[in-house]
Amino acid sequence: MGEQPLVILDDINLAINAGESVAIIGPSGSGKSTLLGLLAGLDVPSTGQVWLDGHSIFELDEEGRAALRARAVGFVFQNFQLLPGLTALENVALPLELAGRGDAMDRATHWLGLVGLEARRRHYPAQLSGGEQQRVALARAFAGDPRVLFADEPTGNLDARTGAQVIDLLFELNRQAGTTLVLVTHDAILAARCGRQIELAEGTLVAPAGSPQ
Amino acid sequence: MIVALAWRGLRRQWRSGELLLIALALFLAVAAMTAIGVVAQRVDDNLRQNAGQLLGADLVVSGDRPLPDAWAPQARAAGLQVTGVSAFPSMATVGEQSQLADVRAVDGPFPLRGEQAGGDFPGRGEVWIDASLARRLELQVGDALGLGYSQLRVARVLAARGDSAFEVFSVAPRLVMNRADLPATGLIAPGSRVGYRLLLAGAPAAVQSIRTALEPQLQRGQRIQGLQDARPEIRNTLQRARQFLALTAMASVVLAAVALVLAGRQYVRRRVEETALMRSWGLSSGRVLALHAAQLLMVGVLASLAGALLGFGLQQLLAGRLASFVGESLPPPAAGPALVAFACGLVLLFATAAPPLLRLRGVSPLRVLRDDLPALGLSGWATASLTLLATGGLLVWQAGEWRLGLMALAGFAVTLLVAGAAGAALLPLARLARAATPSRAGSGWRLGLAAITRRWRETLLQVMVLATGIMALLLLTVVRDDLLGAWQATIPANAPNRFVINLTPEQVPQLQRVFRDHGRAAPAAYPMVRGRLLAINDTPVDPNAWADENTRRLLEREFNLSFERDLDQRDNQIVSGRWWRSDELQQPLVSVEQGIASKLGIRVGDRLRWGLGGREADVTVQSIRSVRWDSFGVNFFVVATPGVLADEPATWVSSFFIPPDQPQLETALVRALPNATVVNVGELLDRIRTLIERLASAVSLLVSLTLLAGVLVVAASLLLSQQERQREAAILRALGATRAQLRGALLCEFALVGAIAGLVAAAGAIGAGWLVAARVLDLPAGLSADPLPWALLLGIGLSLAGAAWLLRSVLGRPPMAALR
Repeated sequence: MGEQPLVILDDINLAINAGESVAIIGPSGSGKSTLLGLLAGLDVPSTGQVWLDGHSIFELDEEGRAALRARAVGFVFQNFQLLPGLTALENVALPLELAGRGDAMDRATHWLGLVGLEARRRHYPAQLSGGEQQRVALARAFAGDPRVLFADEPTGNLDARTGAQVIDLLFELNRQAGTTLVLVTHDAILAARCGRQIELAEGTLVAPAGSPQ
Repeated sequence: MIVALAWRGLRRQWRSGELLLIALALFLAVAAMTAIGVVAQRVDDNLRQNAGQLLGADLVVSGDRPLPDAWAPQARAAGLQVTGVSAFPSMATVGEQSQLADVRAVDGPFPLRGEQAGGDFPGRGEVWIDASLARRLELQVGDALGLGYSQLRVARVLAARGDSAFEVFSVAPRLVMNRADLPATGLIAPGSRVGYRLLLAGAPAAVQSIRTALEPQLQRGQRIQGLQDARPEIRNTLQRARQFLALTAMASVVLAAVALVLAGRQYVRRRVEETALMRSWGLSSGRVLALHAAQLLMVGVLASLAGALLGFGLQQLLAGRLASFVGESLPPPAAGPALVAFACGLVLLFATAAPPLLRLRGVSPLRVLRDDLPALGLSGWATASLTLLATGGLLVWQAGEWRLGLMALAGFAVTLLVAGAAGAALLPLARLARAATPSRAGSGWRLGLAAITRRWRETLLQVMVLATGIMALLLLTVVRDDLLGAWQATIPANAPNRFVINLTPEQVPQLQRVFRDHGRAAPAAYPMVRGRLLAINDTPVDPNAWADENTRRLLEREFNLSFERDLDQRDNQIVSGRWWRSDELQQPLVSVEQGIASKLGIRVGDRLRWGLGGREADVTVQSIRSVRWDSFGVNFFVVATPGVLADEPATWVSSFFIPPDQPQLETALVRALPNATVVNVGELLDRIRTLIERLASAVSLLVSLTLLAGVLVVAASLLLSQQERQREAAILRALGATRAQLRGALLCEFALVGAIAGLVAAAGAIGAGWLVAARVLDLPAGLSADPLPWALLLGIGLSLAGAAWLLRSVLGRPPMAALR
């Protein structure tokens, strides 16, 4: 008996339109995060293609994908992923600086204001609560005017009330900015707030409900 | 149960590589300590044996009356070789010719140490004579020679002096005979001037124990001379030799401590979650602690053992290379230093790891459920103090001297503190520089600066580690070269290599004429008058009132006094008072050397009474002088005005340099001054130079090991921050940072850290080098900037090498890792 190759995602074919909000749902280990990583160009599949903002991202090299991410993609992570040595303001400004924007600090201040944390801009992540850290992460994600925002279990590390506040903020900012939102969650209520749900089970799409195909 | 658990845990952790770092650090530290310790011991032994060659033994007990009969058997019982010697001057005759000889009547192997130590001695009716005596009396092996009433046959001609090359003022050519022949010569009668000696040689411990046993029994006129009691220039040479070796050993101790502090902290940091988990399963905090301690001990024992073994192998290699420098084999290695290094390894491990380890007691099982609890404080101060204490103890121990050990410790501690302060000063600077740089310009630079502020503790640590390591390396290389240079410069190339003594006043112009005839500058000659110090400020001098043995002995015998119009400024410098003016030459004034002055408590203005032959002279101390004794020039403890001593019967003494390519000059001198004794100190100088050169090559070899340890410390410090850097790199990549930006950031950060560390290390090395030169080695030393470029080069180079090594693992991290 030969070993079966380990297939994480198989036969996935989906399109997400500009301005759409999509929730990827499914049980643990169904491949949600892997799919998100592929869509955002953080990971490379053994076969297959992803088109993002007009680019076939796996035809780009890693540098090209990084540049694309800097230009068009925002992230919100389950565990916030703020850099501990930077203040809230510096964390928000970081991707803007990476993209070489001259107004990084001004924009970062502006966005911190929008998430209600202007007064805490000089605080370090360790001095902020979990909800506040995720709001900083939201400001960081939106400050770069991304075309697409990828969110990986954005409330996974927050209590229900704080989680709900963060989600309200996420959708409000998303509405204002007109960003395409791709959200991984196993929270059905959260998923329901998105325009469309894509369900994964054992690496394949279960019900292509509302598929545009 | 704990042990079994610890062992299983150890194997698991070993597989996952968590303990590898700590083991590696310890392994290398102990290997370096062992290699350095064993080789240093062997070199030290070699140096001792060389000094033993000059003394002819490891220990010499001497007296002006026969030594107690019990001493020789006592020494033999202690496992020592013993040879009794009666030493006296006598005339050796061949026909009409006679020559003063330094007779050694021996009852056992002679000498016991040195190249001529062959385990035998002249048989009955035989003598061994120095080559110079053979030359002067035109003797060959087999010829007869008259000594007192006896005729003795020359059985051997000795090439170089074996037992007393340093007693420069007592040397006539040597004649060795069997003590059993002594009575027949009729030379020893009551009142004869005979010196009685026991030459002792054997294992250092036995030598030390017999010394300890005999010292309290010494009577007036008896003394013990070991290697440390040889003449000052030799003692200084050996002392400096040991100190250089000790410095080398110290650097490895410090590097080991630094490596272990880093590794220990990381180890504990990684145990926090595991500890919380075990606590949640119901293990008491004490048991969890015991588990970790047991694991650490296992790693410590295994790594130290492996390190000691590797070190022992390494020292064999080193010794092999060293032997080719030395031109002879080193004494066999002893296991002692390896065991010591093994123990030091464990001590260091626990000094560095215990404080953070103890903090694990405070880990709450709640951590299992919440990952937002604040990070565990790792008691940096406790670690620092305990490490400092342990390192300090080891330093003092290895230096074998409080002062040097504490100075080195202070040097390293100050370096750490200054490095920390400099690093701390760098932080706001980096922040300012970051704020001042427009966002568009060089995001690598801005990111690098941000990284410095972001990980300021790590940055600080890195600066401290690098600076300390580089300082240690600099001290051992650049500073050492400076010191060696300065040291060797204290023995000028044309230092006098001959002394001539017992010149009559009429012979002085003859001596000088011989030099002029050979086209050389005439050497200065100095009058020498014997005098006994009777009173200081009218208080009679009682030798027994002084506790110090050397001072007592000095006061019991006669001083060599001299008189001069002008100060000999080559070797002499007035430290207080003033030299006499030309109108004071007839006043009763003296100048006293500062060492003897401080021993006897003599100050400028004091009155001294001297016994000179039949009369007494009262003189006033007008100045205190410092004297460079290791210049090999003729110098005196006490110099008077001509008015005090010019009328006393004096012999004259001179020293000069005879180039090796002018042997005819020496022949001419011997012919012109048949009764004067010419002492060849060239051999002595050569020996000192050889010692210095051997030492320099030994230290260089030891340094290469320390260098390796230093590189590993730096690598270890980088390994500790690797995980965090990888995580950050993944986030930055996810946020769109390009490789160029990450690379630029890392290189900027490390270049800056390296430059700061280099600056701090250079300052530390320059300062410490100056301190060691001025305070410990007594060398004329200025502040040399030589280490600076090396320090910067090393700092930035090592730092960037580390960055290059980190880059691969950091850049190779897929951005997907940010999602995990």
